[in-house]
Amino acid sequence: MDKATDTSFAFTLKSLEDNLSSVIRGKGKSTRLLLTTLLAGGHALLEDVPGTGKTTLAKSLARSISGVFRRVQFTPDLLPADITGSSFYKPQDGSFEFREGPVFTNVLLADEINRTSPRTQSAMLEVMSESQVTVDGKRRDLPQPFFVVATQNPAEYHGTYPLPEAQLDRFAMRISMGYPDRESEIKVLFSQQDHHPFNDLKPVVTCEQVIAMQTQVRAIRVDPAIADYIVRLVDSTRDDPRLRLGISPRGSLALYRTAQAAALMQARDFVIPEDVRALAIPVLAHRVVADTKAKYGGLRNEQIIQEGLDKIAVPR
Amino acid sequence: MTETSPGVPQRLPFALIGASLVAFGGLFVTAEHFLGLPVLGLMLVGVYMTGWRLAANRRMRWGIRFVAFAIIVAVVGLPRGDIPLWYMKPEYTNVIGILLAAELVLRAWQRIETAKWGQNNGIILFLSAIIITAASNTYDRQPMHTIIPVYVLLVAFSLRSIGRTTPLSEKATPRGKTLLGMFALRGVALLVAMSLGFTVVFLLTRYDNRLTSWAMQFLRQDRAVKGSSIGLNSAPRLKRIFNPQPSLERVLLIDGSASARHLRVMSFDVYQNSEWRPTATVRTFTTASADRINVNSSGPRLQINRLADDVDVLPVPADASAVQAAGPLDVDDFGSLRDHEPNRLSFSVIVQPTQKTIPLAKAPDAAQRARALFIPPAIDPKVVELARQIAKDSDPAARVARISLYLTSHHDYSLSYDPGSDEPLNDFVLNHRAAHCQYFASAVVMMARAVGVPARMATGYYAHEHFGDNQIIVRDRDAHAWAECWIEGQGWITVDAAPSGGRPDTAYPEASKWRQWWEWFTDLPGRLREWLGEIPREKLVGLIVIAAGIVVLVWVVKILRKRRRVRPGDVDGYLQPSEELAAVGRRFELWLRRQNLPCSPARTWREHLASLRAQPSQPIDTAAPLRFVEAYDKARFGGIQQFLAQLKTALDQLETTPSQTGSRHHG
Repeated sequence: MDKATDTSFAFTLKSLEDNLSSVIRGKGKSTRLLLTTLLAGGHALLEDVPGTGKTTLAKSLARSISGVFRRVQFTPDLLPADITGSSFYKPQDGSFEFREGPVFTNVLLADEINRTSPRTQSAMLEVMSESQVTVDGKRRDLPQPFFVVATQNPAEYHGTYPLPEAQLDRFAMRISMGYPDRESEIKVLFSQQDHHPFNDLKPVVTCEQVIAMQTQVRAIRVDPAIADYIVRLVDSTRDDPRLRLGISPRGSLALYRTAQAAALMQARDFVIPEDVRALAIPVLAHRVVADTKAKYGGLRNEQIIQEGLDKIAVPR
Repeated sequence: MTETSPGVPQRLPFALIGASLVAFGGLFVTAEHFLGLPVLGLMLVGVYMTGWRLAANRRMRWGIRFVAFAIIVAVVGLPRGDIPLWYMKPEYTNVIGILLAAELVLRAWQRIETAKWGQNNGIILFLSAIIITAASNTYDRQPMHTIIPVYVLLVAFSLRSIGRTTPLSEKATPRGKTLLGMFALRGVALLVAMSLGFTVVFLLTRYDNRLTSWAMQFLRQDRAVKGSSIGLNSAPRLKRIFNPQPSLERVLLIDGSASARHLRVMSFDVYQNSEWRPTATVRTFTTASADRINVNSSGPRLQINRLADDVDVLPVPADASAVQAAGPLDVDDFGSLRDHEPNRLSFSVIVQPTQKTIPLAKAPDAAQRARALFIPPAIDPKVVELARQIAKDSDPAARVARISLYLTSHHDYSLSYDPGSDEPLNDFVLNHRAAHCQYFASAVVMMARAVGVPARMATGYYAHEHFGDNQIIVRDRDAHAWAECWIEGQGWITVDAAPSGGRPDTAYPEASKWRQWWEWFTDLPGRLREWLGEIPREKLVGLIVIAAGIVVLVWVVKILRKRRRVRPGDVDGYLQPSEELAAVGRRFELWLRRQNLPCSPARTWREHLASLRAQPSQPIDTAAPLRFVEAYDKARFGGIQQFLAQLKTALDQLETTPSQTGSRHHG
């Protein structure tokens, strides 16, 4: 790897991280995971109880990138055309004109994604996996980089439609925020005394830089043994009798790519097993489906992945 | 400190070598002073002379093993004679002992990872124990009385050092209680193992005869011999009771189900003094031509297995058109068959289930016909008169049917009959007495003769007990008698006039299912033997060659696949960039273990070191090993291998500064 670009990336990433942590205090881990997802070219699902800063984090990231940012508040009456866009009749010349929906953006914040109907959720499938929209039989590419940050509230069930497995699988990571520690929470209180620090945010990275970093991620060296380790981790969920659904190859690919991104975040040009191990739960846990018996027996998805991490030999 | 990489040659504990040599000596004394054993002993001692060891190459080791074993077997030779293979004769145990001695020497010479030294010592000790056990299995036990105590003494000495994983040059550091505990544990384990071994040998020698006879039962089924008390083949005599001791002893086991129920053994045409003749001994049996027993006819085939020596004449289903046995068969004028080889256990027949006549019985010549029509003077003319009254029909078959019907409907069945002093048949027929099957059969014969139909008496079995879909069991209690009549234009037909209550199937209670299954189970070894016996030798050799070929193929495929997937020196099956780097990794692993800080395979070293540093009770300074891990990861996962030499020096430094993380040892 070219050393010069390496340091510049490190600098860019550092400023990005600093930018975010000036708004979201005490959430360094979640912030880094979100950035890792961005670098890996994946999409992130932020999941936690209301008020923990999911939306703020997503907005801050969007504002830190000097691209287009759009936000969709997902509601039960939202229709697929409302996000993808649709064709309008132009009376002047009798033709139809396509008006782009909010997905034509660089960062899309899909707020409360589980509040909309499965029909509208499904409209996101093509958008997320192929970065394209097909309306009226015409394929339209989305601008690059394209990064979806969705938020959802797991505690509430009224008026929600749980995301289907196919949709969940398209998120590279599911990131939990968690409550800030006491010290950070005190800082949060003071920082918002006269205005929200969010308003002070300036873009620190351009879209081109993001794309360059995403390209750089793909050049990170992954030893065959690391790939083997990823596959072993994923494979252990496939014949687990407690699971109704194991992890798809998309899952192993996501773990592979995010591990590369994590290595780049640490200015390393090769992946080490620790990268994989640190990412296994955020990348894999939302992809497995426990069978009913295990679920009501109190088995959490994270626990299954953790068992794999504790059991499978690490490459040395 | 000496280096601890897996390449260090293992020096076996002296006492263990001594014990092994004593075991070799014991075997040498009992195994007819086989000279290969001293050679093996010298090779074992040679382990001390040189530091050279066999490389850790599996295939090469197996190759050497194979060659060594082949040489030993070629020189010693497998014992010949009629000793069955399963039996622990000294000739066999000696060969086993010598082979194991070679194995022991091979194990002593191979290069073994330091961590596995204890295991190797254990295996060597175990092998020596088997060798001494094999040596003890001898006709002349006197020398063993002195050799075994010496062996046990040396084994006891070797216990202290058997689990040692450090080279001999180093002083073993006693660790107090644990060492003592291990010593006691190993001692107990060894005592238990040895006493078990000697118990087995003792039991084998003590109950030699009983074991032999028990095993012989499996090798050669002793057939129950029951005298021909029923008279199936001697001279059936009209007595009080037919088959006085009906038993459930199986006589025949028929594989196949479509067949006539009457299994013919013999037929008789001369009635004299309440007895049927001629007996089997006075008959002339001649070798049956292939034509006579229709070897080439087709139809359902039944395999008939004779389980008891009740009769030497073959019981053949009445509808059998052909009989096939492994050797030539004898046949008499009546169509009864006898095997040349009386001990042959089975033969097969081809049956014609639609056939009413008896295909194997030939048409009578003039003399036979005269005998089959002769009514002895002892028979009351009233019997003849009665027969003619009953059977008024032009068709001989119909006449016979009427007689049969008459007897069936006018007479009851009884297992016993009091004959009185007079001719019993007259009494039976004229007074409508109840009697057993022989009376019915004889009466049919006499009455058929009275109406001009040639007839004779037949004996055999009545097969009715089906087992499963495709087996019929014939027991001793199924013995039966009936008549055979010659119908002109058709042939000999079976006429069984016994009322339905008098046939063996209803006369006796059925054999229980439990008994059937038990018999089936006891037949298994015999069936297996039979199946093996049926395979021709060439085919057997072919099968073995094919099986060996498949094994070799699987082996080769396995090796090839392993080769493709995993390079030598892999840890936990992960691909390693180079053997050198893998060795460095193993050394670090070993270092951790020797610091008493072993790392679980499911954790990375960095995580492990971090957890050690964070230990609340005894935080450990992990800076130096962490530096090594950083550098190692760079080489291992970053593919930067030019620093391998530095990596090694870092490791050397780590290894030579034992107090680095050693606060645990003294804490």
